[in-house]
Amino acid sequence: MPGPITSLVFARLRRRGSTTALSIAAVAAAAALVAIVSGIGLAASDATLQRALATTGAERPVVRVSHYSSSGSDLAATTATVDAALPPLAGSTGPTVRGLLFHELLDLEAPVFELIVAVDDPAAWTTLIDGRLPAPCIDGARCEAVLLSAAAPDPDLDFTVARPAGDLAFTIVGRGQIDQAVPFGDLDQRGPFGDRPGGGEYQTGRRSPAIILVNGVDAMAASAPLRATDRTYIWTAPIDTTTVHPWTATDLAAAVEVTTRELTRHDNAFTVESPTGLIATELGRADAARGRLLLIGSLGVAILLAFAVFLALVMRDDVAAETARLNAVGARRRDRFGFLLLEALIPAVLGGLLGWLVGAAVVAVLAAIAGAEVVPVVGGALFAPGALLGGAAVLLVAALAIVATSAPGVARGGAVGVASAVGITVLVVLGWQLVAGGGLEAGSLADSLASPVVVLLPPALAFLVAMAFVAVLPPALRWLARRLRGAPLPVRLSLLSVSREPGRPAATLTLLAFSVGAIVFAMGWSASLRQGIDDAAAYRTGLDLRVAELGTGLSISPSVVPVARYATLGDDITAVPVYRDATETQPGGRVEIVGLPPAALATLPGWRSDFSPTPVAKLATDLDLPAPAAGWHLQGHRLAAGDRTLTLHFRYVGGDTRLDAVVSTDDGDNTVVPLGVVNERMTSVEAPLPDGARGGLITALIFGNDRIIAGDGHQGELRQATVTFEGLDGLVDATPIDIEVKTVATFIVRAPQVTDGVPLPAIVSPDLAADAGPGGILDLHVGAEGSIPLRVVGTANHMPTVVEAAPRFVIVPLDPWLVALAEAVPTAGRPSEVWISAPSPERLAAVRSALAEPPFRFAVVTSRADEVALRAGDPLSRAIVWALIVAAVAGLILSVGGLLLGAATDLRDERGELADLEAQGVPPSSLRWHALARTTWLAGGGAIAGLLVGIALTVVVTSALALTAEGTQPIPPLEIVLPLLPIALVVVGVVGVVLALVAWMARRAYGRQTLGERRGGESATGTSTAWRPGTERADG
Amino acid sequence: MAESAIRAVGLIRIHPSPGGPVAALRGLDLHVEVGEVAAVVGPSGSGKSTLLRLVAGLDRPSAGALWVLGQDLARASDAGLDRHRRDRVGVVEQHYRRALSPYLRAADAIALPLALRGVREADQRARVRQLLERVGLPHRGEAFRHQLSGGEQQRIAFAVALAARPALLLADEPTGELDGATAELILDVLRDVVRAEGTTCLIVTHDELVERIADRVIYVADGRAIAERVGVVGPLGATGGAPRRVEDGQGWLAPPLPAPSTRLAPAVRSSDGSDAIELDGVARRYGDGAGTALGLPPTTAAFRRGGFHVVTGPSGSGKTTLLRLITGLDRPTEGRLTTLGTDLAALDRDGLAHFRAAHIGIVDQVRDLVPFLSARENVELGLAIRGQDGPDARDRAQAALERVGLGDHAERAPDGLSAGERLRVALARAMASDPELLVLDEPTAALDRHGARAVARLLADLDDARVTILATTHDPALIEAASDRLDLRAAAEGAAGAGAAAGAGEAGAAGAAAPAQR
Repeated sequence: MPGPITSLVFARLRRRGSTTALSIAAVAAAAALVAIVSGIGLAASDATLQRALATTGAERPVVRVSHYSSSGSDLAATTATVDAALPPLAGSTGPTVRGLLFHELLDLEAPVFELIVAVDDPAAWTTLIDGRLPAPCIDGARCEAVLLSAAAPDPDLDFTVARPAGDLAFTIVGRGQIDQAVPFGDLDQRGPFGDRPGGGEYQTGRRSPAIILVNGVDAMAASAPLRATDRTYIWTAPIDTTTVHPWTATDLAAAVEVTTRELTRHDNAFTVESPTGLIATELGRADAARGRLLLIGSLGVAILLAFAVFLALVMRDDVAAETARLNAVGARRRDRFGFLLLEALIPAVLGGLLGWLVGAAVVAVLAAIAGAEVVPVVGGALFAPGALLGGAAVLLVAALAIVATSAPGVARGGAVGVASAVGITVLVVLGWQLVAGGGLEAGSLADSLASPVVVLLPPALAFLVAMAFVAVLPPALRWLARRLRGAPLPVRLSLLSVSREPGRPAATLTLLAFSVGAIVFAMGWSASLRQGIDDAAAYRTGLDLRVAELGTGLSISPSVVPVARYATLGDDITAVPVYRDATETQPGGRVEIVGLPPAALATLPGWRSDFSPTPVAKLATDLDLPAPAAGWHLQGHRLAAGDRTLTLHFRYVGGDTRLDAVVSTDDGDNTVVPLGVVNERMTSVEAPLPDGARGGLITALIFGNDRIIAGDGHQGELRQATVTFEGLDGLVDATPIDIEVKTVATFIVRAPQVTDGVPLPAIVSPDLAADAGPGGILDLHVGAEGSIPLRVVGTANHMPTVVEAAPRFVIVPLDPWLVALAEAVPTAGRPSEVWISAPSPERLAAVRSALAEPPFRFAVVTSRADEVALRAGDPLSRAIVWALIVAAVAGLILSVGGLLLGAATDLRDERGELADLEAQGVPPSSLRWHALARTTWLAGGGAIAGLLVGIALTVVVTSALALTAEGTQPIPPLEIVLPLLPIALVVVGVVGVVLALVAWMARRAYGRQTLGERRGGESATGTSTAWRPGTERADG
Repeated sequence: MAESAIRAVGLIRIHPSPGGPVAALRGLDLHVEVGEVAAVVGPSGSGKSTLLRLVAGLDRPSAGALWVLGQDLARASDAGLDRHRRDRVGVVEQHYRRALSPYLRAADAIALPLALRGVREADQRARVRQLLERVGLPHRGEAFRHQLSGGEQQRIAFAVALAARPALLLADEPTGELDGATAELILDVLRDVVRAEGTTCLIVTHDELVERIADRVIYVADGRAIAERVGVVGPLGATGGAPRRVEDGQGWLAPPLPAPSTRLAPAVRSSDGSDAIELDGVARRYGDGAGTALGLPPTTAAFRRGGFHVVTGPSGSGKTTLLRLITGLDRPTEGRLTTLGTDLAALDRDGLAHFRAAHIGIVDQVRDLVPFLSARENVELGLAIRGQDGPDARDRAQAALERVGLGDHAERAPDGLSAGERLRVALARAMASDPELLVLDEPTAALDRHGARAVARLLADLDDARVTILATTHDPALIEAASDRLDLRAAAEGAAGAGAAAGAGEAGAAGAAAPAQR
């Protein structure tokens, strides 16, 4: 049985049904926003994690225990140790797979890097390309094996390896590929654009190393020839990704930690690899994104609080009258407080529950779409005790705000002063934090729950706006009311109306400032994030496609020569060759070099006007260096087209050195022709010319100490000599040349080039520009000892494809650069990438298909469209977009609801005054216009305030929260985009809908029937002395 | 000596104010015995309401002693005052509309105090029934506030205040918003209920009608009790001691006015068409079928141009309805009505408003002056509403204020004016546009006797050939000052078939009016 206060409150709510329904709907909208933001944050986290773990190949998620053994250790005992340490992982991983990998099998002479690996059950992990699987190895010396390589076996490979303890001989019975992640991990580390060092390729120059897979770990472990060979035993347990979620990830990390601790305690030769780092990274990214969602949630809370205060002010007179009545009939203090609290809490709780349930349903749908676990996400995000307590706390705060606003006897002036002081102080602190800290980055946002900026920014801004309205509105409205004496009567009356009790207009405007502001902010931020996705994609790809080709002999430098091949893609296809490399400067560190045709710079979709203070067209013009009459061609000694061998004649005095010739071919490639070691006894050297080098141009001769092999630390010695060449016209004359080489430092004999002594124009990052000397000359070190002078013609903060948060780069004109570079580093002057654009998506798809076929080599293609799709499809990215959509919808509901509630309440509360005006002679048509004008003032003021708040929030948030849609640091920085036309359409739509509804309400109130006719029903049951209806504001 | 219900000795209450402390009570002495109906009578600002708040425990005296029902309220704790209010006191507000929640049915409103005290539901129901019968509304328990007449609302308010059987009932101007007849009825009910409940009752009022039911009347002025009368007098009193009267020299303690002597004109129909208002069988019915209610019985009357006419009659007789019909705020369901020579039936709602703007000034009971505008600016706004906001509006507003004696107060905001002065501003606003017809609805309802007489004098002074003044009232002072009176009581009786209209007057008086049944 409800108590009398509860019954009273329910009676009140029931009797003013439309007001109650609007209130509940508004609270529900705000609560749903908070709920959805909370829920989709977790859903997106889960989907992100699932997406990250749903990788295959080398990155397939496994827990891998490795034991490095310098010689044949007791495998059985080691296995027992591992078996004892793995149980904590039992719930998260599948059956363990053993593997064995031998080290130190590099054959320097071949050069072949033969890697011998063994598993127990190759059938489970190997995909045969041809042949069959090997039979189990018995003796560990002569075994059947499968050659693991995507490419065809190299005919030069010798599968007999000489060892001190005897030869190993393998019979290759098949060729195939292995699921590398499970038994061994990444056996062939190859990645695009050099972001990971090439392993096998570096060692062998081949696309894949020669990996020999043998059947039988035990047999190979006991192999006599390999007894002294270092090896690694590997136990790999695939992770069951269905068990890994944001809410269980810490369990997995803890299990990995326990296992690691147990193993290393036993033997520090154990290492444990797991994707916990990846998981932590993804969760960190998710946390950063959720922190950002928290801001939207906080905005929802701010709107809720604004609505609460608005509601309290709208109902204040009515509540005060009821409280006075309660006081008169002897209600205790607790009864009166209970009344106030229940009056606020019941709609708040009903709205909160409704909103929470709607939010849960929306979250469930979105989670299902995103591929997240629906039940745990919804349960964990919205129905966990913490979430429920948080939601209840927000509602309680909202209810208390209502109580505090509507409670009779509250010293409102003092409260306003205190609130103003608090709000301003908070904003000052936040502003200082933002200025001093330079904004928030992804890392700091990962701990965003503790970030006061994120949590407090919207409420603090709400406070400031509200206080500004409270302070400014009354005098402003009164001033306006007095100044607009000559305005049409409805305008003047409406101004007087809103001026009479400015608290309510102030609350209405504050609510609108934040509800409309939420719409503007949602549209602005989502547009900025969307633009950020497009910008980032365009930034990373240059044009539509960015292509690199790998696997060119022994070279580890990516090359796209001959570039002419790209012309075969079609006349409508633009293919821009680009040189890319990096060098080091002191101080400053890494500098990225990008060489491209100057004209292409102005066509890059990834270039933004904010990258440089100079227009890009002018930059492109300034970057262009007029070509010499002969064009940008290398100079050197031309070989006869029919020569099959390269023969050099010389006089040589001094120590032995190695001599290579660099032959530039007509297709733009460089070939190094090894000429062997020269000494005083020789007068000539001869070497076969590779096909591509025949008829080429010798651009340089390189004297070296010894051949370069993998790794550092090869000691060399100083060698000096004097050499005089003969018959190398165009390259060098007969003047004796003193050479000096040591270790890896070479001596280069090169031809004079057209770029000699000509500083190349360059656009550089601002810090490099600051390092330039007189005349803007900047010496850029290239290669081991080379240097190319650059003339700084412009600066830019960013350059598409230079993916650094604080990039240091130089942009140079491609053709002169290649010439200059060939001079400084003879083997390096080749374009490394091609940027392609196509007139249509269909043509682009055709280009991609063509790039997968000869004459193109193994091409790594980055597509702008794919980048956009990848980023836009990121669960976190989609979550923020959804959250912003929900924020916009909630803003819409609250804007319309608030305005309608205010208009309906005004029409109700002012009916006495309006009746008086009609009695004074104001025609009902004017009263209808008055109602419209009043709503227009509020809606217009609210729309303007909302635009300002929304724009302020968009600017502050986009600038301060340096995050992309997918929760990473934006490169390039996000650009603030305000879709003004759509925003204007939405805001005008909101105002228009409200005005239409208010016009309808006013029409109902001030139609054809006179006041007396309209109130006939009231008078039918009794007689009042009141001259007009509605003389008490508190009337329901 | 009988047991004291209320005893105040040297009671002082000083309120802080922006202009310095203001003494509302300046050593007031008071004695009310248990079971008495006591009335504290005095002009506005004499400290009546302050005294009521002190006795109710809503405020504390600054000095002096105050015992209420044996408790020393001057020394009571906050909790003690809370208990005092909850357990001993019932309060009836002046504004009965505020006393009743619009959200509760009458029975629920009466039951609420009982429910708050944990009374069982069955007992609540029984008590509600008992009280509804005692206030004479046994069948109105399911009605919401807006479905009750003013008198009914006040009676329900009494029932609410008495529901928890308080030992002391405090009533603040219980008849302040009621017409005379209804006020008499209400006071009758109040006395009977108080007697039946055995409750002591303290009423503060400026309505001399209250004096007629009071066992003890204490006259206060300037925060002191200046006279006291013990014993009931007047038509309501059956017994009582001889009243002791004190004149204060200012007139407010003057004896109540005698029965109004204003002439009541016969039902003479104007024949020359020069009357300001002509009613030919005008009636207003509300609702259809069985639910039909009569707002104004069929009335035939005429008001001459240029007179000061009053419309009197009991609550429900149709005074306010008549004004609405005359001003076009409502339309008659029967008969023909001409105002200032215009048949209002021919005008639509906008046309009616324009007509009012051009010809009629209206002064409502609730004067909606814009609080942040000065008196003059409010009058200027009134002119603007009537489309007369030309360059001379300021001068016209000032002139109108001077006409009502507020020339020196033109720049004051309404909050700085007394109730009577606000009424004058409203009057100036209505008159500034020089209307042909000035309509006032109960203009003195909220004023004390002194203020009412001043308003009556003012209206009488305005009476000239240029403007026709028509006011509804039950105030004897106003009636006395009027030139003609239409008594709708007779019309109501006539509508009930009681026969011809009552009234006698000077035959042939131009425009004199009287109701007539068709």
